[in-house]
This record gives sequence, structure tokens and C-alpha cells, in this order.
Amino acid sequence: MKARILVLRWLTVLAFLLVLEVLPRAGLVRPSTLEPVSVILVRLGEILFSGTIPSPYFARAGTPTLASHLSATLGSILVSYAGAVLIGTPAGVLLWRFPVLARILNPYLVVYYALPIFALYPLFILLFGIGFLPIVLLGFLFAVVVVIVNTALGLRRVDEEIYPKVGRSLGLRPVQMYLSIYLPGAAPFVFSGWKLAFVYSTISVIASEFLISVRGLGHVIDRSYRNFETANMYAAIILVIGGVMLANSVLTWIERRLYTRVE
Amino acid sequence: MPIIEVRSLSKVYRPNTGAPPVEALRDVSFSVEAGEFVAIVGPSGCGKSTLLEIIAGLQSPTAGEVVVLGKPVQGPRTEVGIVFQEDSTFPWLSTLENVKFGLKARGVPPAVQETLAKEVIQLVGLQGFEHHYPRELSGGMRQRVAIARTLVLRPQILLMDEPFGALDAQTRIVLGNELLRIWQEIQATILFVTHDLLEALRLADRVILMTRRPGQIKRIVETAAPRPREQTPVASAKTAELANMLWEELRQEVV
Repeated sequence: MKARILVLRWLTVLAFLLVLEVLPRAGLVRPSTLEPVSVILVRLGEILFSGTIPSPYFARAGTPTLASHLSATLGSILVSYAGAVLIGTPAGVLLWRFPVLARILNPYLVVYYALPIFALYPLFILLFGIGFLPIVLLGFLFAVVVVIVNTALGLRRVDEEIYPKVGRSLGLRPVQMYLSIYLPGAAPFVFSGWKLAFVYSTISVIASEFLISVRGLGHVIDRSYRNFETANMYAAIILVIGGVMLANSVLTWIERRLYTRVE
Repeated sequence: MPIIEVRSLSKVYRPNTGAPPVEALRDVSFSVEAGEFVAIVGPSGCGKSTLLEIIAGLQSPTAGEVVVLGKPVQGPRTEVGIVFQEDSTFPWLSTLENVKFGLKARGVPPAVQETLAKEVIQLVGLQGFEHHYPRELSGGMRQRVAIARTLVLRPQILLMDEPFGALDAQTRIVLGNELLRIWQEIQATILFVTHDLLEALRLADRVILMTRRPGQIKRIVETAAPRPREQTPVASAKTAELANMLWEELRQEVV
């Protein structure tokens, strides 16, 4: 039964790919919209093996190598993500430690959650120009809130449990309370925040690269689209999706390990 | 000299939400002798848990005082251990790590931690489960872990707040018997809170009956059954008689 479902699941994927292959070949979809899957995959292989994007545009722009774009994207994601984790986590601890602070800031945090920070991109271009800095700032701002909120939530959850009382009854000093009770107790929630922050900063960096960058995978997708280099565009999209899926499954694996110890 | 002296203890909670104050305890006084097993019985919400937490130094009284081993209680003390009703095992630690927790916090050398923890795990019958996590244990076994975590610190006084309250009837009786065995082995003083009259009569030397909120002492009775005892589902005739008498009094308090 399980095997049959697995087979059927892969068959649907294959059928879907087959449709994508046939549609452009039969002339039902224009090549500027969709190239056959086989062409896209061959192009992706070509890019990965040669390390360059076969495109006159990128050759003229002086950024023909995949490495120049990959490093820009990864660098922006890592810096904005690290900033969100390193600043958001202590901020969440402060929010939990000083409930007055939480009560003052709560309405802002709620509004901030709903705010599409990305809509402010013109302001960021005016303030910081085009390039690394505005992209990293947008990624950071997009990702930091979920870290703050989840950290504070996780710590508050520990307070609702009996664990702090147990700690006090066993005579723990304040430092020991933080390290042996609050840290492991809140870890799964804090980590969920970190995981979401990674997704948010990635979304923000790729989207920013469409508009305010001259390098990066987002930039490759955008330029290839404008220059009717459809195979290059889809190859870059597959690279982005594949990379995010890989990172996400690693983070989910760690998260599940944290949760199974608690549940 | 009694090991625990509770002197005219009162506790009033004043919620900072503006809700009216709640009087949990009113002028409670009693004492416990060293080596005694005393049970406190009362209806739900009569302040039994509050009383125990004040004796443990986890809460401060509004009036009155508690003297343990000749010194007034001002905070948690090493001579006093407490076991809670709800599952209090740390889910991120294995049985062995849970039991070692308090020893580690007190800076006991690792080798000594290991020896003491193994000893207590044997005492509560958890050998073979040292490396299991709480989620892999039944409710009764988790409560054994929590008891072991407290016992390993060798408290002279063991406070137990409805420790078997969340367990099924069979497990309660089994753990009750084990508790009596452990009590005899470690020679500690036990103050045991429960809402189960029969459980109190089976286990304790003396039973303190409390009124509904605000909690006051209604009556203190000696069970006077010989030791060692073995708990059975149906109590002896003498215990049954005592239970029926106390039930008459308790009934008026249950709302």
C-alpha cells in the first residue's frame, strides 16, 4: 500500500514534467514563456558544470560566472539572517524579562508583523543606493520580528510550566535557572523562530535582487526574463528552489529532533 | 522538638488585575515530629498546595511563620525536598540526567553524582530505564523519576503535593506501597497532601483534615495502624470506620 502510494506520487511528478515537456514542443506555449523541461535541465547542467551563464547580457555586464551571483545571494542571506538571529534572540529575551516592555511594544510588533516591509524598497534605494547594504537591511528587517516574538513566546511557555518552580525548589542560582531550565525549555520555540527567519530573509533577498541589485540569483532571474533567455531564467529558479528546499529540510530535521525530546 | 512547626499561618492573594483578594489560608498551626508520616486532606482549592509551598519556601506567608529544624523558613532549603502533582520531569533530560539534576546544580563531583543517582534509581525501581526520556515512560514512571530527583538530595523532610493525583487507581496503590517502603528505608519525615481520604488513612500516622477555603484545620486524627503496612484496595475494618467518620466531616466542606 505504502509502496503503491509512493509509486503513484512519483508518477504524478513525472506526468507533470511530461506535460511541461510537451506543451512548448507542440507549440501550445511560446518558448518565451516556457522552454521544454529537457532543455531547461540541460541548461542547468551546463551552467553548473561550466560555472558560467551562457548569455551575452551577463558577459557584457562583466558577471558571467555563476559564482559571482551565488556568492552575492548567499552572502546577503547569511548576513541578514545572522543579524536577525543575533539581534532578535536577545531582544526576545529582553521582551520576556521585562513584561512592561512587552506591553508597550506589543501593538507595534503586531502591526509590524502585518507590514510588507518590502514595499519600502524605493526608500531604501534613496537612502542606501543599489547593492549589498539595502538588500541585507531589508532581509534583516523582514526576518527579525519572528525571532523576537518566538523567543519571547518560548520563554513565556517555560514560565507557564512547573519547571521554574522545580528549579527553585532544588536551590538553583539565577544563572543556573537560565542555563538549565529556560534555555533547554524554550529551545524548540526559539529554533522555530530561527527557521522561519531563514525562510523570510531568503524571500526578501531574492525579491530585493530583482530590483535593487546588479548581482545575485534574483538578478539573474529578472534579467533573463527581460532578455527572453527563458532557459536561463528557469535554471536559476530551479537553483533557488532547490537550495531553499535543501536548507529547509536540514533545519526541519534539527527542529524535529528538538521537539521529539520535548513532546 | 518538632521538625516542622507551622505557627498561625495565613495567606491572602491580592491579584494585581484588580480582582478581589483571595484568602487561601487562615490561622493554620500544627507541628510534625521527626520521622513522622503526616497526610493533609481537604477539598479542592482549600489551600493545601499553598501550605506546602510555604513550608518549602517557594511562597511567603501573609502572616505567621514556619520553623523547620529550628530555623524560620525564608526560601528553599537543602533539608527540604518537594514533589509536585503535575509531571515535573524535564523532558529534555533522560531519567539518569533528571535524577542527577539537583546534584549537578550543587556542584557534586560527576563520579559521586553517578553513584548516588544509580542508588536512588534502584530505590524507586527504575533500573533499566536510566537512558529513557520522559516521553518514553508512563505517568507512574515519570512520577518515580520526579521522586528520585528529590530523594537523591537526601532531604530530611519530603513534601509531597498530591504526588499520585494524576495517576490511575492501580498505580496509586502500587506507588503508595513503594512510598511506605522508601520512607522506612530513608528514615525521612513526610508531609503528604492528598484529596483522597483513604489514601491518607492508609499511608499516614496522622491525618490533618482541612476546611474549604479559607483553609483552616478542622481536625487531626491518629490512624494508629501497625507498621509495616501493606495497602490493599479495600481498607481494614478499623480504617473503614475512621474513613466514614472523617467523611462525615469532610462532606460538609466539599462544595
